Amino acid sequence: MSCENIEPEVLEKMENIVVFMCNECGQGSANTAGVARMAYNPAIRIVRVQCTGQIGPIQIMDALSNGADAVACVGCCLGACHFFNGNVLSMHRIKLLKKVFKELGYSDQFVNQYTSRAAEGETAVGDFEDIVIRLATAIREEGTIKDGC
Amino acid sequence: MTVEEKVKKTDEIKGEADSKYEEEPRIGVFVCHCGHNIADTVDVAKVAEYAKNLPNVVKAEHYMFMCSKPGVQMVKDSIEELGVNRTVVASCSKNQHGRTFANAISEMGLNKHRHQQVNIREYNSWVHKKEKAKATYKATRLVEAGVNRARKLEDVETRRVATTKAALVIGAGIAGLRSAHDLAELGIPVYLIEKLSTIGGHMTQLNKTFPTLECPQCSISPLTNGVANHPLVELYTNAQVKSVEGSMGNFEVEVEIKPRYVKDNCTSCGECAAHCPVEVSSEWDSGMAVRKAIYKAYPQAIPATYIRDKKNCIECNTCINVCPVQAIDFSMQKETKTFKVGSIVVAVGYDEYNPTEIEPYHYGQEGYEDVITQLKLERMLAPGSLTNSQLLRPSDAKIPKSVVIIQCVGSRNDQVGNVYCTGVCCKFAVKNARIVKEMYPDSDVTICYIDIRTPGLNFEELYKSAQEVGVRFIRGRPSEIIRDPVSGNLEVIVEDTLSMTPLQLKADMVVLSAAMVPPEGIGPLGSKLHVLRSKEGFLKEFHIKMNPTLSSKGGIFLAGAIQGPKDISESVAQAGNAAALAAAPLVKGYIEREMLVPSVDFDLCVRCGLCKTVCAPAAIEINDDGTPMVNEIACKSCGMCMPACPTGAIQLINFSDEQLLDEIIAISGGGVICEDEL
Repeated sequence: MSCENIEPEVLEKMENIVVFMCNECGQGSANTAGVARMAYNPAIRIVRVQCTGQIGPIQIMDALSNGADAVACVGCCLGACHFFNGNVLSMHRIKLLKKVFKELGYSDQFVNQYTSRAAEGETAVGDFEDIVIRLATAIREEGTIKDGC
Repeated sequence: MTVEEKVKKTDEIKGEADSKYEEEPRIGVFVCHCGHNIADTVDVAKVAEYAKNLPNVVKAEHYMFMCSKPGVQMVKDSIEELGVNRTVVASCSKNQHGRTFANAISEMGLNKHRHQQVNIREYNSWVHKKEKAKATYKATRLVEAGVNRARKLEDVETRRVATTKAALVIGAGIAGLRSAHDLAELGIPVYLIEKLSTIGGHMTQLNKTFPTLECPQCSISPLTNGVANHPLVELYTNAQVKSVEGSMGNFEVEVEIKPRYVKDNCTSCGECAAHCPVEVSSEWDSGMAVRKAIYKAYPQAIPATYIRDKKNCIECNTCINVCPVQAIDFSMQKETKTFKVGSIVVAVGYDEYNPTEIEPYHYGQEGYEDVITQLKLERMLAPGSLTNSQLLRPSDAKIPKSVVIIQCVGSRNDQVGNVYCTGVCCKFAVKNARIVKEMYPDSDVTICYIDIRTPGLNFEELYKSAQEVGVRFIRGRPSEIIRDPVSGNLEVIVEDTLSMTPLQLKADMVVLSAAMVPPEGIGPLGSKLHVLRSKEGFLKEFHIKMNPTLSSKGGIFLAGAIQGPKDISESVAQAGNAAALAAAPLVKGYIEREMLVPSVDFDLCVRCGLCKTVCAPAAIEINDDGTPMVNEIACKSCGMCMPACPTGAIQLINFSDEQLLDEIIAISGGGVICEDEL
């Protein structure tokens, strides 16, 4: 599955995808991707935070209730968190949140956690593509979160 | 600080914050063209026009190059002319020019943290070149989010904290000595503490060091002597850390010093040891020699003072009677000392892996006395050993006709839980194989390896030289060492995986290249220091690439094998780096900290202590009444404590839930006045 195969009507439904990127590898990889002019979906919006460990359910739910179609956290690679283990903490939180989403009857593909490497823009772009692909699957199956699925 | 004081302090802080909000935010928005970089994709005029209509925005401009002198002047002028008190510049990434504008506004008397950088180049125009309308819309979202964020930005004060000009070095092996010496040479008083009775660590135990086959005693003695006699170094042997309080710049360390039972006036004449009736196996010699119950680990040991082994002493008092200077005193007690230091260097080194748990090798079992480790081999070959530097089988003291060296014992082994490669075993195995082969050209020396890893300058040459003298290399990990019950001969069962041949190698002696593992007692030490450990048990570095010397806690540095297996050169290099890093804040006399730290709302706090559990740098302490107290110096501003708090009582300044919410609203398409304008 790649981004090119996604139907235009599904792509159209993706207006705002909020990505929380940590100040270190997350930001770094998105900057590297920018410098290398690697195109990705313009619905992707990046919020700079100190560490993905800073992002909790509050921020994610705030984003979704204010119009975001999907939320993702992008942190450093496992073992490379600049604050020791924020990425792992975030991963646990997202995992729990996915369960909550399922319990509530939503697709668990609306929230995801990724890692990236500051030196490689591909990692960030790959993460973004994966967000879009997962969101497309969710939209095809259940509709957007705004539709109430 | 009592609770009342704390509440008062928070009230004050809150009061200040309230007054800050009272001041009307006046936001200046500046959109950069970046030549064609942004303007070709994003309709910058439209973005600026849009920004003009946002609440609190008093000025919205677009300009060719914001980072140029006139661009920066535009920002400065807006502060002067329009009373702008928060700036938003939509241009490149924060890393690139965020500081330029932050510095500019600080020149105009505004706090640096009142600048909000919005990245519409790397995150927008450069990656959405083909979708101009969408890129423009995204830019407006990003700018609006920036404006929303800027509206509530608070001043972050920069505080200078005086540091204690002294350092503590834990461990006096080669890394600890190097660090202590370098620190002392920078004019910093150093407390050097060592668990054992002598300094020098593992290096002094070696026979030769690779790749040059130098005598390690000769290489290290200038350093051991230099440290022991340095006026700024206070050396404590038999000492261990009891507790560590405080944070970066100001630590208070309690150290427990065990008694030697021999006073400092000892002349090191050796009369006591000569007359002592007790003989036990020497730990320093890895059991390859005997020592008395009152002893000096080795002739060149520093400090030269003898030490009494209380456990094995039979208290016959012979030593007391023969000592010509009355230095021996059995009534000495252990003492506790408290040191105030600014930086701590941890250089506690490694332990050799104990291969007894690998059952098929039968290490340490009866009848398998000829299975020894590399460290024992080093001790046997070293000058002045019990065997007179000869290689003799421990079982019958004969020169072995065949020696088999087994690599990767305890490393690269999932079964014992050590996946990592120690990295130095190949080097010392090749070195020792060559030394043995050169000593006894008639003996067969075989190395059974998985992969030979001898990278770096001069090491391939060392490997080749071993091949040239006739060391045999067999690729395969031996499955078992078996012993003929009648003759007592050992045989190593291995498959030569290159020729697919099962082999049964006759071995008069087997040497296990045991891995380097974290030293015993690192767990308690790690928790006393509040530093984190890697899953292998070594102390975890701050960042594997960018700062492998800093630990997870500011002000505590790692030197040598405690951060991971290392050879001597690497340990020395890291130790020098640790000394430089540890010295920097002490030489300067202060550390400058931006107080980008969380504050606690004590009315909301439910005293659950969850914030402490997630705080990696251990910057949160729980008071007696259960409330958290943030150590502003130790805090690394990661904000991990925020989502952990069930009530939102702990909030990181400028990244609080409230401040992030405003940004999130705009960025997720919510927005205040933005409906369908574009």
